[in-house]
Amino acid sequence: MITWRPVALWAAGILTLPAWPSPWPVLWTWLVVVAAVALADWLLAVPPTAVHMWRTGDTVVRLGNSAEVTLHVRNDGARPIRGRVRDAWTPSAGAENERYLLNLPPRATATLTTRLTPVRRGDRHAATVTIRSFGPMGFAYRQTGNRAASALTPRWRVRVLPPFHARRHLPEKLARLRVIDGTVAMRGGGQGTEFDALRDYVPGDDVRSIDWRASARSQSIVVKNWRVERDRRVVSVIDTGRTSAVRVGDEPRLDAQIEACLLLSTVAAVAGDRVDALAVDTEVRAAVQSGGKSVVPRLLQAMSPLEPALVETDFGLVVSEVLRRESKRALVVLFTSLEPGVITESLLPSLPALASRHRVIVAAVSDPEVARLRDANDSPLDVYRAAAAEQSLLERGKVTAALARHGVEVIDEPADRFASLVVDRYLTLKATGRL
Amino acid sequence: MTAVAEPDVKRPEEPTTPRPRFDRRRMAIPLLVALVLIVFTVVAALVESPDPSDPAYLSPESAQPDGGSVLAGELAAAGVTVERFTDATEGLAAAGDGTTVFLPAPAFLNTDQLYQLGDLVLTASDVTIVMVDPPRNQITPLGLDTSGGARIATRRLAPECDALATTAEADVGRQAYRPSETVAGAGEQWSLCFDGYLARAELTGLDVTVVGAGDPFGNAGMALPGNRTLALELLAGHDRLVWIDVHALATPAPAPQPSDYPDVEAPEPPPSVPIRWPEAGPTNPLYDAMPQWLWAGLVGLLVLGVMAALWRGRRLGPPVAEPLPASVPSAETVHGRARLYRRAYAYPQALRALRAGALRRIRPVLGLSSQADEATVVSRTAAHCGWSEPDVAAVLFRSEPRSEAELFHARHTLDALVAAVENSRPQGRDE
Repeated sequence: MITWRPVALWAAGILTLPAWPSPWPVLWTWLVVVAAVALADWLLAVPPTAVHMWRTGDTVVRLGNSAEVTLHVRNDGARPIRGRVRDAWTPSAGAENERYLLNLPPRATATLTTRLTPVRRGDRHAATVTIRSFGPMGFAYRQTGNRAASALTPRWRVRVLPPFHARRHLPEKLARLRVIDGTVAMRGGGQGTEFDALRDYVPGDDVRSIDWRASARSQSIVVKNWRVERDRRVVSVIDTGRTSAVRVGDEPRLDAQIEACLLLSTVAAVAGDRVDALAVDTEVRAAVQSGGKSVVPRLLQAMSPLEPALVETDFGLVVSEVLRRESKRALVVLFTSLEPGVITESLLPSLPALASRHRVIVAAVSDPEVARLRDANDSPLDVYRAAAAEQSLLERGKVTAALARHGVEVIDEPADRFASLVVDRYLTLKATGRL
Repeated sequence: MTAVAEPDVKRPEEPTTPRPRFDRRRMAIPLLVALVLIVFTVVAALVESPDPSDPAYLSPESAQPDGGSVLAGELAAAGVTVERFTDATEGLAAAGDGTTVFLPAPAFLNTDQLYQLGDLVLTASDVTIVMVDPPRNQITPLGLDTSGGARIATRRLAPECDALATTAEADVGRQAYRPSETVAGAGEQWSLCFDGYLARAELTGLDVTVVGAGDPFGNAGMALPGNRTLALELLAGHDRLVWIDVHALATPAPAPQPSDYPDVEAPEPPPSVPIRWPEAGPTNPLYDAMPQWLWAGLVGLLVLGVMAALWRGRRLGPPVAEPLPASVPSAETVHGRARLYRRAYAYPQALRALRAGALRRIRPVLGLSSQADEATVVSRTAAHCGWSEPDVAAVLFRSEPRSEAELFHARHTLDALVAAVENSRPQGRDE
């Protein structure tokens, strides 16, 4: 294909036409000349496929931060390549600069660094690298076709982790955890129900915790020391079905669920509990199973590519997966929505099997828009909107009541408080020894 | 505890491999072959088919394959005097009683000559006219019409009719005819031979034959005995044959001038000023009026446009598609249900929902359970906010809205009641 130069040359030729006695032969001769020059230049251009490319750089970045990925282009041909390169990325990867000039002597390597500032969570892929190689006169160029370009392009993926804004709650939650744990000096020491050790009585101890039997055996008065239960199991189940695609506030419900799941898992991991996580709709989308503190980075990795699927969640699958993975009693937090249809048709029939083995919490992100619509009174349609919002709140109330009858706790809160309240509920359960 | 990490069981966003592209070349090959075949056939047919405007076409002087020299020789041998005319006017004037008029290319008769032919048809007796593939407007006055379009290749057919003596197959199948439906009695007048490719009418003193193809008369066609027999039967009926060998349209004779009628005083012609075109040539005057470089420049600009399109037309790589996640607007079901209420004029249903919501907010304030009956709710509410019991009952349970305005009103009173309950202290507990 041609560059601007033959066009300019041709235009210059047209301008001289009035000066010639017979313009037609001049015009055709000029056309032949311009075409011949462009053709010769095209034939002399170095084929752009005579390069080798590879990439280095970041593979993981948290949403909101920037990553740098470097494309290396080595000229494997015998002649220098002069041209342009476009390192294309998906638009949401937020590539700052995709187009580069290339001036590559034989055997030389160019490093083209692209700065990515992704705008969405998930996996961002590098698209094709296209190379355009100009002829020696700059009249024409050769460019890699679609097929050749995708064969040459080195693949690269940048995993964009969820932003985890909820970690701002972390210091407060961990402080409360330490109070519960008894590592911070409080009157009465640590609360808990699990027997830890026997020790000598010191003034100030709760007299109710004196172990009279042990005291009789020893010289001094001995008290029982209690501690908070450890090594309990916390399972977060994220529903990635169609209800998770609904926007609440300015983000999808799924993002709020992931934030809450991450905060809960972080706190639970610090508290010494075993943290598992599942993401399910009609199939298992992600599963993380572990104990220890390294679980959170792996959770971040597993959660980042989750996308809402436009299918009805199969709670029968959720229940069977949880029962299969957890043999001991666990706290199961279902991050879903209180949609009457899904809950009554899918969750309620399979809930008894789950609730009899585990403690279940249904955590739903509520939509503040519904509450706003209930009080709206501006347009003629608003009275109907208010009625519809009222109806939807009533239905949620009924679903909550139905779940409560199975001994399931329900958290139905807007996105900004959601994560914090879920963790509060966990800490309450932990403090009262009901895990 | 063993840490088992199951990486993503299924990644919802796999790197999309480019879709296998439809191989256009595979599709193009048969199309190209078909195209070449069609072009070859059309060109060959055009080259091979005889052209009446060719001076050699069915000319008694021409020895070429589509000439008529062999036929002329045969006719002379049969004792027929062949008179060739290159001017149709003269030829038709020379035709008279006891002659055969052979028109190999009747399309080249001008209006005057057609009138002359018409006169001949009307006045002459004992005249045979043989026309090869005449245009439609020449045969419709005779009560004959074409049937379908002309064939590219000539068909060989048997005559199968009584109007002809010959029974051998001949190459006449190019243009078929049928009696005209608009002319009464044409069906009886015309007899069709060779499956309609030859039409013959025998009138009193006149014998008109219309042949659909010129092949039986050409030098190449003479090789087939059927063609020869047919040609001789048609043309050797009389001692004289007027062969009108015309291959171009002649200019009609000028209209009679006033000077042809000396008795009539000619009016004075209007004074005319001859227009002088600048360098008047055979070309468009506008073209000549402008300088040559202007036209060349216009063509140059056209080429410039094409080149600019080529320059700007190619992208540096294709645009990249964004895999967008599914997203549903917030409170979509609420909005949808609101529109449904409105469209169905569901005022009672809308109010029922509003009342249920109001009760849900009132009950905790009053300390009532959800099982409390209507009378209890009404009396407690009335006692709490100071409204009269019938008012409260009407607002909370009784009234039935029949229009949008009533629904509005009901909602406002309901809101007022809830506000009154929520904001007032219970009676008797004022401090």
